[in-house]
Amino acid sequence: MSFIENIALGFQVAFTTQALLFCFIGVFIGTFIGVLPGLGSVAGLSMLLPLTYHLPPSAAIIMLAGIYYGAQYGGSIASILLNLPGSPSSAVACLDGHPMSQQGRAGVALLMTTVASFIGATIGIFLVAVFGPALATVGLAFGAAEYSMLLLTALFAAGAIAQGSVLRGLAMVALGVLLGAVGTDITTGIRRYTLEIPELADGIPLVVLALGMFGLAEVIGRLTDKDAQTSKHARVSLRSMIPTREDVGRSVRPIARGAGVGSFFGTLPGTGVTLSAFMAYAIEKRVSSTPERFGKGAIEGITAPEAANNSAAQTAFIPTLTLGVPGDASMALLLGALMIHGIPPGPQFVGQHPDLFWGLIISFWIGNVLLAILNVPLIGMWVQLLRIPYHYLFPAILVFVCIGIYSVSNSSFDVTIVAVFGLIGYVMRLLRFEVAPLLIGFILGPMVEENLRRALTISRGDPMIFIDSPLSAAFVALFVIILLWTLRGTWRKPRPQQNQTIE
Amino acid sequence: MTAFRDLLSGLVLLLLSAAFIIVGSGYGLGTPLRLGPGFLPIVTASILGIIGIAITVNALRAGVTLPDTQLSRTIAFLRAPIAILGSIIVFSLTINRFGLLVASALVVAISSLAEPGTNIIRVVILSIVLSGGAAVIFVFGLGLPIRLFRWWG
Repeated sequence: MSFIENIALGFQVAFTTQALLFCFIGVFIGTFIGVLPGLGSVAGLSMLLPLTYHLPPSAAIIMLAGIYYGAQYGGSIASILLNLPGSPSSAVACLDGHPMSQQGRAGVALLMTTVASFIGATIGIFLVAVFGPALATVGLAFGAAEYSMLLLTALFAAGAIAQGSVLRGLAMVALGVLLGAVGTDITTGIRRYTLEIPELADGIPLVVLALGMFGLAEVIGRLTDKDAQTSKHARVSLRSMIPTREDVGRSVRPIARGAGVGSFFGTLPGTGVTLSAFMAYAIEKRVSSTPERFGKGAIEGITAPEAANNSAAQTAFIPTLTLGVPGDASMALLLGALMIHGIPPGPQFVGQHPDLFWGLIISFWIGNVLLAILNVPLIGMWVQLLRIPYHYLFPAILVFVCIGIYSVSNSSFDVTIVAVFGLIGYVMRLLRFEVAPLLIGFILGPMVEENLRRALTISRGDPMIFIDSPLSAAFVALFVIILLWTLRGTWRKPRPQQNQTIE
Repeated sequence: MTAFRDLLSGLVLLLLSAAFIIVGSGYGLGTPLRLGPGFLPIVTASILGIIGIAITVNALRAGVTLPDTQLSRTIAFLRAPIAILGSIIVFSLTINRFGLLVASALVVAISSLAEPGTNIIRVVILSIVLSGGAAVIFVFGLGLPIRLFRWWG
């Protein structure tokens, strides 16, 4: 079957009334879930999975997929407007999106986010369509040694996201890694740092960490800093939503880069949307000629990560569908749904079910179009949220956070921990430490450790394995280069500029 | 002030580093063939400690002046964190025992203490509206299996 024939087949499957209907339902629910803090796509998917049992497989997967990538659109809305991430992958949108909102440019931020998300998703879908099975082999080329070196480099680069000194950023990465070690050690089964608390045996849930440190700390911070509460630019007209030519010009390359980063990390099994978003941000900051604008409302700071996480959401289907290896928990749920319907993903998938595969791909694109259409008019509505006085808003936020966290595993313990991390996050805020690098350390740390150990087991303790494979050696070299480059930077200027207001 | 903050930062890092190393030393470093569970935590915590030392030293070299704090200002400062974090803890304690409606209402009520001088009537109305709204969205709308109301212990 030629490519054109495949696309035509896909359109046939995706344009049935039923497919379109469920696509719409999926993306709508997905956006809504994405906006609510605490309720990420994992929670949403697990709640709605049982509903799909009685649907035909195509409708079921189309809807679930819609929820999945719809949540990527919605998550950034809360990040930009309230500095409260709707899902962990949207946490990076807080960094520049919220300052933009405080400068009265919330509408622009939301619009550019939608545009970037759509373009990112389209590029991701295109890559899946054209290179799908071929890209699967890229994922296969990454063995334990390659993964560990890649992720180690990423960890170090994460320290570079920090606006302050790189030292502080790295300290936060290290702390994140340590927090990631809390729980049961996969390789040996020993419980680490759980302090005899049984609920910690599975480690600290990511959403608890993210929401506590980003969200709760933000709410507390807002209430103690009187100036931050009143939004000075409450008036939003249609005109204020339109980005300036400069905005658009500045965003073209970040979107392209972001989509590239997202497509890459989405394809790799084990890495997903959150990592893609953060890496895109770090890369943008590194290649920018004016990195000091980041964190203060640089448009590249939201368009790149948004393009990244949406393209990652699409390309994440590649390892899931062609290899049967899910990139993150949400993908695992989708995989489960496929298996429940008697359609095992894997190398045979494309060959045995071409109609489903191509139907899905076209439906992904339709879903993204629907999302773009849905979200743009709603931007005005979302921005009105800013006009609500904060003393009505913050209790609502707290209630949503509590219920959202509680609903993940019906665990009141999780709610207790989110309060603990709220406290930690607030203290860090006071000490001018940044949370974003910590989040990356938390996610990547366990993966680095696992792959490091696996690589050394494969090589029987020989550290040369990390240089033997060309791919791995390349990452080691990259790591050294970034290390030297960063040290050079710190050496030249004794203290980087910090525009911090004294409280 | 910045130097003082840096000093505190450095000390906090050192404290954390020490804590992780002490607890982690019991896990075993292992051999290069089989890295033990203690390897990564100890190495990472050591890096954290080194950074902590660097930051502390830098702060001391810049010269630290202690800020003068008044008790009343400190209390006012602590009000918001205690109210907000307290409300979340209250939620975690009451959600299973008393259900969603009560827990949500309590969150609103207690967190409203974060700001001095809030209108009681407004708080009550807000509690009812938000807990009701949450019930509609989460239980009726999304179908979450959360108990709405429960009276006995």
